[in-house]
Amino acid sequence: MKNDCAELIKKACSGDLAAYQEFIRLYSPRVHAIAYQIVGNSIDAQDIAQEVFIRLYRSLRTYKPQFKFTTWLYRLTVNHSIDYLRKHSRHKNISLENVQDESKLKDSAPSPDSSLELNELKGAIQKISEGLTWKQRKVFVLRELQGFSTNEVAQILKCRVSTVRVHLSKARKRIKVALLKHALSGHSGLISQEE
Amino acid sequence: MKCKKIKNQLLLFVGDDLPERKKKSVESHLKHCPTCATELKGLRDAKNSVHRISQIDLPGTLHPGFPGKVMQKIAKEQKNTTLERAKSLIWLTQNPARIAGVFAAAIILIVSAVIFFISSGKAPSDRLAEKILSVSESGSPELEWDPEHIFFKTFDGPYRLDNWEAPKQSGVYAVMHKSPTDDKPNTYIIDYCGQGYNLSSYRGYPWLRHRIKRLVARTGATENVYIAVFLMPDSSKLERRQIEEALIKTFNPYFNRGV
Repeated sequence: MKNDCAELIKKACSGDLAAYQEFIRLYSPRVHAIAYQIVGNSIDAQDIAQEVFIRLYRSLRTYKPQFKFTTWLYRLTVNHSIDYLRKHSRHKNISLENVQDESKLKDSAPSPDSSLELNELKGAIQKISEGLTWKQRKVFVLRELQGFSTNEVAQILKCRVSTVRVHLSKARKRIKVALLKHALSGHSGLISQEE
Repeated sequence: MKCKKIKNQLLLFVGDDLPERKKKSVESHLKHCPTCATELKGLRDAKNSVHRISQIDLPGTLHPGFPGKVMQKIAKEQKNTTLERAKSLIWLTQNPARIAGVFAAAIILIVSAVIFFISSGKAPSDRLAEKILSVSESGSPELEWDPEHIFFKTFDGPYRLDNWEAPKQSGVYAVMHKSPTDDKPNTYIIDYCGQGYNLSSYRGYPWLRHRIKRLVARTGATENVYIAVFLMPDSSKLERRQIEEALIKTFNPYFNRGV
C-alpha cells in the first residue's frame, strides 16, 4: 500500500485524476474513521473527509516527495477535524440519541442485547472524549484508537515524541478515572468485562 | 524507585510507550510492589475497554461513490477557477483603455517605489560620510576634542595605539597624535586614515611600519600615538571606503598624501 500510495501520488501530481481517485478509494476509510473518532458524528466526518481530499489535491504541487504523503494526509485530517469542532462546537451537544441514530448507518446491525451494550459504551467514550483537551484528543485518537506508534503520532502532529507521551499519559489518566466513575455509577460492563 | 513516580510511568508502560531503559526499572519494581501491580491492572482494564469500544464503534462504511463525488467537486472547482481567470481576461480585453489604465497604475507604483528608495534609502555609510564632510572641509589634520563633534560621536577612542588590541571586525580607523604644543592640549592631529575587512589582521601595522618610525619621530614617542575606530560589521569595502575618503578629504592626513 505504501508503494501504491507513492506511485499514485506521483501520477496525481502530473495531473492523472484517475490515480487520485484511486488514492481516495484506498485511504478514505481511515480518514473517515479518524475524523469520526474526533468529531463523533459519521455525517460530519464524511464532510471532513471530503474537504480533506479536496484541500490535499489543491496543495499537491507543494508536496515534497522526501516526506511521507500519508503523514501529511493524517495531519490534515486531524487538524481539519479539530477546526471543525472548534467552529461548530458540536462536541458539547453530542447526545446518546444522536449516537443511536448513527448505529443505523452501520452495515452489520448488532443484536438487540449487544446494541444496548454498544450504546452504553458509545455514550461512555463520548463523555470521556469531551473531557480531553484538543491535543490530548488528537493523541488519544491516533495512538489508542488508530494504533499509530508514538513516533508516528509525533510525525503526524509535527511535535516531539516526549510531547506525545505527556499528552498520552494525561489522556489515559483521565480515561481511567472516567471509566471507573462510569463503572461505579452502575455500568459495570465496562471495567469488569475482562474479569 | 518511589511508587508515585512508577504510577506516572505506568500510564505509558500499559501501552508499551515507555522508553526501553525506563521499562526495565518499572518491570523490576512491579515484581515486588502489589499496589503498583493493581494499578497496572486497572489501567489495562481501561485500555482494553477503550480498545473494545474502538472495535465496535465504527463510523459506518463510506458510500462506494465517495471517491467519485470528491473528484466531481475537484473538477467543478477547477472549472470555476478557469472560468474566473477567463472572465478576468475578457474584462480586460473588452476595453483596451482598461489595460492601459492597469498598466499605467503599475508603472506609477514602480516609479514611486524607486523614487522613494532613492530618496530615503541611503546607506548609513553615505549619511556618515556626508556628515563628516559637512562638519569640516578645511583640510586641516587638527581636530579638537569635542564630544559633540561627529567624529568623536561616531568613532570609538582615541585609544593609545601601544595598548590597543585590534578587534576581529571590519571598520574604518584614524591614527593620530596629540598636539605637542601646550596651548592645544586637547587637539589631535590626524596622521593616517584607513579601513580594513578584519582589523586584527593588521595588528602591528606592517603597512605603516616604515612610516611608524617617522610618526614616532614626529610625535616624540610611541605612547603619543592614538587610534580611533568606527566598527562596521558586515559592511562592504565600498561602504568603508566612502567613510575613509570622507575622512581623508576632511583632515588631509600626512600619511595619506603619498609621502
